[in-house]
Amino acid sequence: MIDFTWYILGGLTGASAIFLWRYAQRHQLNWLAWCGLISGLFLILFSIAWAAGSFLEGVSRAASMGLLLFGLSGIVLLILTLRYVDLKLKRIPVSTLSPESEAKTAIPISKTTSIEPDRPTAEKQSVRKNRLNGRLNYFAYATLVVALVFGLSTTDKDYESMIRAKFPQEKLVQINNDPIVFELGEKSKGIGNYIVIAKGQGYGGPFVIGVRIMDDATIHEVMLLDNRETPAFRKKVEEANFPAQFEGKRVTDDFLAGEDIDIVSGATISTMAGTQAIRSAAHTAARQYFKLEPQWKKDPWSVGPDEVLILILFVLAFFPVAYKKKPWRYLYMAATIGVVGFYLNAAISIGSLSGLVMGFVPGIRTHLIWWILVIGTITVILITGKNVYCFRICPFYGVQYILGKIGGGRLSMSTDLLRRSKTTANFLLWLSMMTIFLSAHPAVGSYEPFAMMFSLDGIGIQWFLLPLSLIGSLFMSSFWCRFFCPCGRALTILRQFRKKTISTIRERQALDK
Amino acid sequence: MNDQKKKSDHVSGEKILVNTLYVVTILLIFGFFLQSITDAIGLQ
Repeated sequence: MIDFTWYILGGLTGASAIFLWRYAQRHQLNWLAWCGLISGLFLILFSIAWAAGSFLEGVSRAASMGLLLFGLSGIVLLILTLRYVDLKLKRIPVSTLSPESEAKTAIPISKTTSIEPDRPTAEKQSVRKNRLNGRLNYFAYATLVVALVFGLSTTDKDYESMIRAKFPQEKLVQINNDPIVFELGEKSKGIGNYIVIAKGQGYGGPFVIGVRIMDDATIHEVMLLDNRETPAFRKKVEEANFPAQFEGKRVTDDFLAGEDIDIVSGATISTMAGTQAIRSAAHTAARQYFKLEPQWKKDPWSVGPDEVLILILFVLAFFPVAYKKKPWRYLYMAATIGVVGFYLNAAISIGSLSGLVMGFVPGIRTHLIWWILVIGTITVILITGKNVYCFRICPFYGVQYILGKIGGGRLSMSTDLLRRSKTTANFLLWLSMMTIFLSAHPAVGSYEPFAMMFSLDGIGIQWFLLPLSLIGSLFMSSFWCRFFCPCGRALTILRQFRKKTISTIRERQALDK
Repeated sequence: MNDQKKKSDHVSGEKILVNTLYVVTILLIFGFFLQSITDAIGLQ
C-alpha cells in the first residue's frame, strides 16, 4: 500500500510541475509568485504524504491534523498567490504563445457550424432531461428494493462455530431455537452451564450477544458475537468496559438502567439496548433452566428528565418564535447542541432512517428518545408536510449556523457545481442506502460526522470529514446540510412524496367528479 | 473597468476555495464508503 502511495505522490508531483510550467507560460511570474506557487504546492503534497503515511500507520488523528495544518495552509497560500498574480502581474497575450498551443486552444470552425443546425430546442432538451430523470428515479428505487430484499434475506452468522472456537475443549449442544440456547460442558446435578444468544437494537443497528450463565445461576461472561453499531459508539462502550459489570450478577436481578446497571454516557441508546438484551437472556434462563420464580421488576417506561427535555425541544420546533426570533433562536440552538448533541448524542442519521426501513426498531419503553425524534419527525412530515427536524432540532445545523456567523458564510460555488449539487446529494443518499441495505448494517453507509463530533471520537476517514465540513460552513452557510446530508435529503424526498401523493389523489377525485 | 476586473478576480479566488472544499468533501465521503465496505467485508 505504501508503494502505491509513492506512485500517486509521484504522479501528483508531475502534475504540479506541468501546472507550474503551463502557468508560467501564460503569466510573467516574479520571484514572489514563484515562491508562493512552489511553497503552496509543496505544502499540499507534503500534507497528502503526511496524511497517507499516518493513516497507513493507523494514526488517523495525526493524519487529520497534518492535513488541516499543512494542507489548508498550502491551499490558502496557493489561492493568495494566484490572486496576486491575477491582480498585479501581466498576462502574456495568447498571440505570443507558440502556434501549437494556439492551435489547441482554437475551436475548429467546422465544429461550431456543424453543431448549430442540429442543436435541439430548449423544450426538447427539457423533455429529454425530465424523461432521463424519471428513468433514473425508477432505477434508483428498484435497485434499493432489490438491495433491501437481498440484505434481509442473508442468513445470520454461525454463532455455534463462534462459541465452539472460544471453548474448543468443551462439549456444546444447542438445546433451544428461540432464543438460541447452547449447553456448555457436562451437566452436574441436572443443572448445566448455558450460553443464551440475545439480540438488541443499538443506535446504529442490531447486535447479538452471548450470555454465559453458570450452574450457580450467575452470569460469568458477556460476549459480543455480532454488531452493526456505529464505530464511535462501539469504541465508547468497549473503553468503558460496559459488559464487565454484568459478571457475577444473579439471573434473577433486575438489570435496570440507572438502578443496578450504569449506562455509558454518550452511548446511552446502545448501552440501554445492551442491558435490555442481557436482561432478557438472564430472565429466560432463570425461568426455563433454573426454574426460579420471577422476582424482578417489570420493564419500566424510561421517562426521565432527558426524555422530557427532548419532548420540549421537539414541541418548540413547531413554534417559529422559538427557532427564528432572536434571542430565543440562540437559546434554542444552544439547547439542541447541548442536549441532542453533546449530552445524548441522539441526532437522526441515515442509519436510523434506513434501519427503520429494515425493521430495526428499538422498544418504545426503553428508547423513548429515539421514538420522539425519529418516529415523531416522520409522523409530523406525513401528517402536516413540515420537516421539524432539519434547520431546527438538528444539533449539527446549530454548530454550522454558529460557524457561518463567525466566518461570514456568504461565499458560493461555481454555478456548474451548484447546478449539479442536488444530483450529487441524491446520488450520495442512494449510495448510502444501497450500502446499508446490501450489508444489512446501518453503520456501514452512515457517513455523517455527527456521532463523532458529539462523542469526540471517530474512526478513520471521519476524522477528515468532520473538520472539512466545519471549515466549509465557515465559508458557505449550512455547508453540510445543503450539499451532503443524506438524512436531510431523505426527509425532503419524503415530504415531496407526500405532496405528490396528495396532489395525485386530488386530481383523481376532480376527474371522478 | 479595472474595479470590475478586480471584483471578478476576487470572486474567482473565493470560488476556487469553496469548490475545492466541496470536491474534497465528496472525495472523502467516497473514501469513507471504501473504508467501511472494506471493513465490513473483513468482518464477515
